[in-house]
This record gives sequence, C-alpha cells and structure tokens, in this order.
Amino acid sequence: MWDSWWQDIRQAARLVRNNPGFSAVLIGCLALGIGPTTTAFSLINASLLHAVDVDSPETLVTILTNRVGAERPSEGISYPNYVDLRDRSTTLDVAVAADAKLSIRSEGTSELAEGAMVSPNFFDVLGRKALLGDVFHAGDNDTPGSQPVVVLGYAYWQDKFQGSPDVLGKTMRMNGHDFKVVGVMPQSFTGQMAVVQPILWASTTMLDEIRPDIPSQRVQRNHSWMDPFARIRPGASIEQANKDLADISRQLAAEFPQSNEFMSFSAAPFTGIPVSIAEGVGQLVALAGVVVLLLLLLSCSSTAALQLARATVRRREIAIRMAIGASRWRIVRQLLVESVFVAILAGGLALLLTLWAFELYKVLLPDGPRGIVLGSSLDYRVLAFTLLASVVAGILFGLAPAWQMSRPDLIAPLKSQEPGGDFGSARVRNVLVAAQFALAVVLMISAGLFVRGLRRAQTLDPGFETERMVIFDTDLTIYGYSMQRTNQFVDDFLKRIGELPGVESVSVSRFPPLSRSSSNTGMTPIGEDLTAGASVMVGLNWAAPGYFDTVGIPFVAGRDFNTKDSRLSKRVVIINESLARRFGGAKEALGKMASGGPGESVEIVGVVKDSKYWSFGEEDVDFVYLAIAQTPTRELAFCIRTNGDADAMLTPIASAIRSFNNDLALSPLRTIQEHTRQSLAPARMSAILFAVMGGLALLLAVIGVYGVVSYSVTRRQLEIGVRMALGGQPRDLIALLVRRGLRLVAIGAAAGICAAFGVTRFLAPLLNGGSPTDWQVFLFVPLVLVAVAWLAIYLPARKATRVDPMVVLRYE
Amino acid sequence: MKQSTPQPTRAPQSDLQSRPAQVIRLEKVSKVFAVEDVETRALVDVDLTINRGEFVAVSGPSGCGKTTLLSILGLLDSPTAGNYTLDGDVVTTLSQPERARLRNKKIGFIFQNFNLIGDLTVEQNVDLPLTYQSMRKADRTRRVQEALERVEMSHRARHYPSQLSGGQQQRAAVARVLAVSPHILLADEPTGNLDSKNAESIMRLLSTLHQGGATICMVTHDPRYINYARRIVDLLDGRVVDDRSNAG
Repeated sequence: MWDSWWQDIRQAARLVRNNPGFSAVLIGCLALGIGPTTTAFSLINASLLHAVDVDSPETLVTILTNRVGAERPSEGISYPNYVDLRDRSTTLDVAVAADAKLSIRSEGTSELAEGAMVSPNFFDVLGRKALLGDVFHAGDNDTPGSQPVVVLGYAYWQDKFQGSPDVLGKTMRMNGHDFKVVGVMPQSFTGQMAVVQPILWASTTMLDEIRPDIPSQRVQRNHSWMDPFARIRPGASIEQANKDLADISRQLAAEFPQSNEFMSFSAAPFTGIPVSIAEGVGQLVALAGVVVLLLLLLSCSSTAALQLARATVRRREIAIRMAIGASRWRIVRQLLVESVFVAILAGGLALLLTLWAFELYKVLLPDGPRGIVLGSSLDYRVLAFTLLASVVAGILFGLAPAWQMSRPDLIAPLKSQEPGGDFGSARVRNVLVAAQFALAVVLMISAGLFVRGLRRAQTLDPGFETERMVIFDTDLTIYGYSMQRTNQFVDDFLKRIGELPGVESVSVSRFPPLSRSSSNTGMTPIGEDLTAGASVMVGLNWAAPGYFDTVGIPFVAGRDFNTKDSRLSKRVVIINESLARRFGGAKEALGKMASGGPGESVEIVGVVKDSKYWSFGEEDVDFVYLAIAQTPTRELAFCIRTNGDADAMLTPIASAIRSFNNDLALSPLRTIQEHTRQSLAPARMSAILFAVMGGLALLLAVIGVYGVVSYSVTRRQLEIGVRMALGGQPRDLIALLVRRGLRLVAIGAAAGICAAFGVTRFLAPLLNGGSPTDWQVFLFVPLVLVAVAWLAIYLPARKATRVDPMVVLRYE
Repeated sequence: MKQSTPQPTRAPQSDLQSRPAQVIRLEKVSKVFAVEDVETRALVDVDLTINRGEFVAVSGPSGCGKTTLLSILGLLDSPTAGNYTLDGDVVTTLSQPERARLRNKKIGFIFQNFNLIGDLTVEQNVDLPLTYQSMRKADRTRRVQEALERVEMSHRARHYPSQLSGGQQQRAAVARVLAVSPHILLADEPTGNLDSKNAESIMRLLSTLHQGGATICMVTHDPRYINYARRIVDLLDGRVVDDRSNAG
C-alpha cells in the first residue's frame, strides 16, 4: 500500500519539476496564505504557549478571588489577606507579586521604570535560582524594611550594566532609598507572568519604602493590589488546596466580615497569563485567527481556481489513468497527494516568511528596559502547525479540482490529443473566482475601515489644542514626596516653568489629555428638592486653575477653578457638556448639586466642551473635573502652553526641570503631537496590519483571476482563431472575454459587500469612532478591485487576440 | 531499427479452462446520444459475441459507431439499451468503481494516439495499471520486464514517450496491456498514427499475441490491416451489417 502512496508522491514531485513556472505560482499563492497563518501562530506560541520558566509549572496554581456578584474571579489580593493565606494554608506555599513604579537614580539623572515587588518567598515558590549572585528568600528576615536588596532582570542587567558581573554589591537608589544588587536572574526568567520581564524584583518587606503613598497597605484588607500564586505542597492535590482555601476564606469572612464576607479564594491551574488580560488576549487571538483564516481561504480558493484551469491540460492524462483501471477515488487520492505536496512546499516557504516576520516583530517591539521574553520562533509546535496548515490548505485547494478532474468524459480525450473540454469544471471555477473576490472585498473593506478610522482620528478635533503644548507627567509618590511637599512642589514648578521665555501658560491636572490612566466614579445628581436621581458612571480628572485655558478646552458656562476653591471651601466640580445634558443643559447644570459618595456632595460651577479623554475612538463620555486643591494627588500631569514651536521648547523646559529638581525623571517630557501620536499607535498598527492583509488579499485574488483567464483563453484559442478568421475584431473579442470575467468579479464583489456589512460590525470598537459601514470605503474598495481585476483580465485577453488565426487553426 | 516478431505466448491451459468460452456478448445493444433536442443513434440493436482467442476486426465508414462500440466493450461508456456480458458476468449496470476494477483486470486498450503519459517513463507507464491492482513491487517489476521483453522495448525502459518514435510508443502501449494479462485486448485504430513500416510491425505484434491465445477486438478502417483478423464485423449507421470469417 505504501508503495502506491510513494508513487503518488513521486508523481507530485515530477509535476512540480516538469511545470516549474506554474508550480512556483501555486506555491507562492499558498505561501501568502499559509505564511500569515503560521506567523500568527508562531507569535501566539512564542508569547502565550511557551512554558513560563519556572520549576514544575504543573504544581503551581494561580489564586483567584471570587466576589459575590462579580462576573468572573479576579487575581487581586490585599496584603493582609495574602499573609493570612500564607500562614494558614496547609497545602500551599503562597507568594505574591505586584507591579512597582520606580524612580531609579543613577549617574546624576533619574529614570522611571516598572519593576516588581514580590514576597520574600517568590523565587523559592517558583523554584528558580539566580544566574549571578543570589535571590532573596523567605525567612531571611521578613520584618518590614529588612531587605533593601534587589534582583535584576537579565535584559535590564544587559542594558544598564552591560552584563557586567561587577554589578553584584552595587547600590541603586530607588524611590529615594538605597538598594543593594544581590543577584541577576537568567535570560528566560520573567517571574510568574509570561513574556514581560520586570527590570528588577524587590521584596515586599520594603513596601513602605517603595510605595510610601499608601501607608495603610500592610493592614488594609479591602485594597487588593497584589497577584497571588502558590505551589501545591508535596502530597497535596489541587482539590485539597481548594478545600483548604475555602476553609480559610470562611475563617477570614467570619473574622473580617467588613472586607471578606462576600469573598472567597480558589486555586486554578497556573498559566502565566493573568485572568484580567486573558479575555482581551483571547479576543485579539480570535480576531487575528479570523483574518488569517480568511487569507488562507482566499489563497486556497485562488490556487484551486488555477488548478481547475490547469485541469484542461491534464484531461487526457486523467482519462488514460481511468481507462487502464484507476478508480475515481484513486484519481482523487493522487490529485490530493499532489495538492498536499505543493502545499507542503508552500508551507516550507511560509515557514521562512514566518521566521522573517518574527524577527521583524521583535525589531518593532518598543524599546525599554523591560525585557520581552518570547519563546522560540521555531519549535515543534510551530513545525507541526505549519505541517497541519499545509495539509489542510492542500486538501482545501485540491479537493474541488480533484473532484472535478476525476469525472471526465473518458472517450473524447482518449481519441484526441489536443487539450479541450472543461470537465464541466467551469461552474466550480467561476464560483471560486467569485469567492476570491468576495473574500478580498471583505478583507480590503476591513483594511479600508481601519485606515479611514486612523485618518479620522488624525484629523478629528479631540476637543483640546493639539499644537504648541508640552506635557510632563510624574508621580511624586515614588520620589517619596509627602502631600505638603507635593503642594509646594506644584506651586514652585508652575511658577518656575511659567517664567520661562516662550511659555504662555502652565497648569496641572492628574491625568494628561488622552491619558492611558483613568479614574471613574458613580455620581448621583441631587434635585432641587434634594432627592437623589439615578446614579451615572462618570470619568474623573483633577484640574488646577487655568488648566482648561492652557489645554484649550473652552467653557460653555460657569467659571474655572480659582484659588478660593480650597480644602476648606465648598467642594466644587466642573463637568462636561454630555453630563450637563443630564441636568437639563449647561446653564441649568450650574449650581446643581451631586453626590459623589457617602456624605460627599459637590456643586457644579462650570461646564466645558466635551473632549477626548482616553482615546480617539471613545464615545461621548460623562466627565467630571475635581479641583486639585480640594482633592490633592501626587500623580501630576503638567501642561505647558508655548508661544511657538513646542519641539523647540523641549530642551529649555528640560533644563528648567533639571535645575529645579534633579531627582525628577525627564523621560515623560514630550510635545502634545508626540503624545497624541503615541495614543494612535495601536490604531496605526491595526491599520498597517489590515492594509498588509488587504493588499495580500488583492494580490491573491488578482493572481487567481489572471491565471484563470490566461488558461481560459489558451483553452479557447481555437474558438478565438475561428472568430477572427470569420472577421471578428480583436476589440470585440477582448470585450467579450473581459465582460465574462468581470461578470464573475462583480458577483464576487457584491457578495463580498454583503458579507462585509455583516462582518465589519464586529470591528466597530477598533475603528476609532469610524463607521463600520462607511459608504466611501464600501464604494471605493470594490471599484479598486474591479479596476485591478479588469487589468488582470484584459492583459491575457489582449494577448490571446494577437495570435495569427491561421497558426491556431493549422495547429488545431 | 530492426524489430523482430515476438514468439507467441499461450495462456496457461488451466486458466483458459476456468473461463467461459464467450468473452464478450452483446444483446440488442443500442446507444443514443442526446444533445438538447437532437438524438443521435450511434448503435442500434447490436448483437455481437466474441469468443476466447478470437481476433475480430470491426470495420466501417467514419461515424458508423465503431468507436462507440469499442467504448462500450471497454466499459468506458454504457449502452442506452440492451445487455452486455463480459466473461459470463452481466456488466451493463455496474457502478463506476466496479467498471474501473474490471477495466483494470480484464480489459486492455491500445489507442490510435498511444495515450502514454508523457511525465512517466516507458517502464512507469507499463507499471501504472499494475499499481492500480495494488500488486507487490517485486511482482510488478517482473511483469513489467516480461511485457517489455515481449514487445522488445526493454532497452527503452527508462525513456520518456517523447523520446520514442511512434512505433516504439505503440509498442510501449501494447506492453502496458500485456503487463496486466487482460481477458480481451481492445485496439482502436492502432495503426492510425503510424507509417506503414511501423504499422506492419504493430500488426505483426498483435497477430503474434493472438497466436499466443489473446482475444483481440480491433477497430480499423484500413483494409491493409483488416486481414490480420480472423473475423470481420462491418458496421453501418450503428448496425452490424456483416459478420464474416476471414481466412487471411
């Protein structure tokens, strides 16, 4: 049996060797479909599927917090709850980790960085030793402030210390305190989370030094800010661990009902992907999967159409095989082996494309001290997936041609040597050509919508000035500033920067415009009869006097904050127009009261125009500005309006900041243009990716239709010769051929437009506010496709009519 | 190139005894081709019996139904009416896979245009029908060698059809038939694409095979080669108008 399979494989190899041009087109087409599929898988594999570098991950668990009424469990846990789990569990060794914003001072300058704060038993629970030096351990000395040491991440060690072993014992000043470097972790170690390698790990014994802003965090039970995980102790099972956690949860609920009554803990298998982002990652993977699948289908459909077109050439061969006794199944099998063989060659090429794309992806990753640890671009999973994708593609593109080619009229081809006849495959081929264009239209319309969305965002009025402004945000908490010192800092900073030549005005808020950070709260309008209305969720920012003028957000009614709005005065807020409409309008809202929490009522003193707060794509948001003087914060965003070019002011402003306070990290200083450009980075990346996919789709569809038309006119050369011999004009024949081809393209495009109407609705949240049914895109894309298709049909048609009819007729 | 006539090889006696004397029997076979509203009666009530070991030539003018008859005999096509019995089994209503299996085991075709597969060597072409029988490689190799020796084409085994003359291609096609030892050999104008020298050579080859016990049904309209057959059937307008012995 294997012998006959081997014979089919040899026949497939022979076909490729004897038809190098045609095979190259097939392989290229398929590689363009398989390549993106394997690239997407390779990236998913390297970032999500490769094992986190920990010891025995199968005995690790993630500890989830289940809250009554919450849709799904979360990972957050408070420090006191962690300590209780750690001390009371008989089945688990519990550890925690949390992000830590760090200000690292070295060589006279400061930089902001993201590190990790982890429990002293962190490395012991994960079971990893240091590459250089040592890690800290549980029990070294767990008392607060006793471990002023850090363990460096490999990428940060390479980046900042050039991989020098002399780093051990060096002192790093972080958040105003000295820490000694005791170790460096291996390159592949990222901690409890996959992919992202923190720059360093510090011990939670240093909580008060690293996060001085929340002095109560060691005792506050309802502040869940750490991610817990644990190792199941030898002899215990995950079921026993869950029972153990349930018992402890009950104890804690009884002991601390205020914080723990409606909360319980459970253990889930460890994956290295936080549940908080797993859903988003899943959606992203699903979207990528759909896009690459469409592209794969398109390439299969193109190659199937080419195969069918070529079937006319192989008509006689198939008839001979069947005449000497090959069954239809045997012929189908042979043709499928040929298709799969070609697809596997395409898979090889796709693998090369994948390796190249993977390297490109790594180059495109944003620079930063945090290492991105990806698995290998090529491992057994990627190879197996590529093989699987190739085989599936081979079967997909080979099945329809095989089915058609295996039922020829046996007699005619055996009697005559000239290619002719169609196996009745024209209908299937036509369906395939139409399907290609339908798929191409869907992908290109999606690409068009992304591009339009990006363009819209780039030209959209965000509701604030997008020129002549410099932004500088900082978190004084990490510099160890007290609230009093912060207030002084703000006053001095505003004064110093405001005096700079070229600075028109300067103000401060908690978040800059288009901030990635956000704050929300429920707000309840209070009627004139002091009855509370329905609570609405509002976005929050904190603003100082002059902020709106500096940023360029105009007032619709009322006044700005002023120096009289202090902690001792009545609490006031400024709201946006959208929220004002809930109060009956801008003027009507003035003086109205609202409740922002138990016992907290605020008066609306101003209404400003709506603007974009977090992203260009957001819908209208109800928004409230608090007076920064009444609700102090150490997270600050300074907005500096300049008289002229903002770029030219970066250096003087940086010098002023440095001379003002050398501790401050300058890395966040940027122009508003740069800031908005960064905000648009995801939209730009999506638009580029979809544009590439759309371009590939167009290319594949055009190759498909060009190949089909070329073969069709070759097959019909006799007809063309006869028509010309009878006096037909070349232009009439071209028109005839183009008309036939374009009819298919038009049908496909129409089907694609209908499908796109259904599909693009799901893209709406990603389009930066652009319409998923933008009529210009829906009109323009099919027109482009038809125009390109016209060219792809016209060229082979024109070539066919240039033959000498006598030559054709004599040959036939 | 000098080509000698191969020695006839007789089928084993026991094998012949186990087979019915009538290899082919057609009873009232008709074939109608209908294209839109136009019906063409290619065969009309044809009765024909071919016995084991016979060499029958089917002759007649162009369009008389010779090829249709051969296609039905070769199970490439089905009759519209009537019965077809092959080796004692009624094959009129067989399914496609069963027809393919019978074509492979019992019927050998020789075509006017040779119909060798251009991508395969002579050896591989001859081997092809055997692979469809799922025969072991060693057996196939032996049979291919024997068949090529019988048509004196062993020295061209590794050549591709395009490297051969017309006569050599037809010999290779005959070898492909011989390799499967069919119950009947159907030849459709086997000399139609050959010059007279090569045509004579092929006819001598068929004659030798017949002397060796092969059953042959040959369609031809060339009077020079009809005389190689021992029986001549004349067709006209789809009907058998004459069926006579030929002393040669």
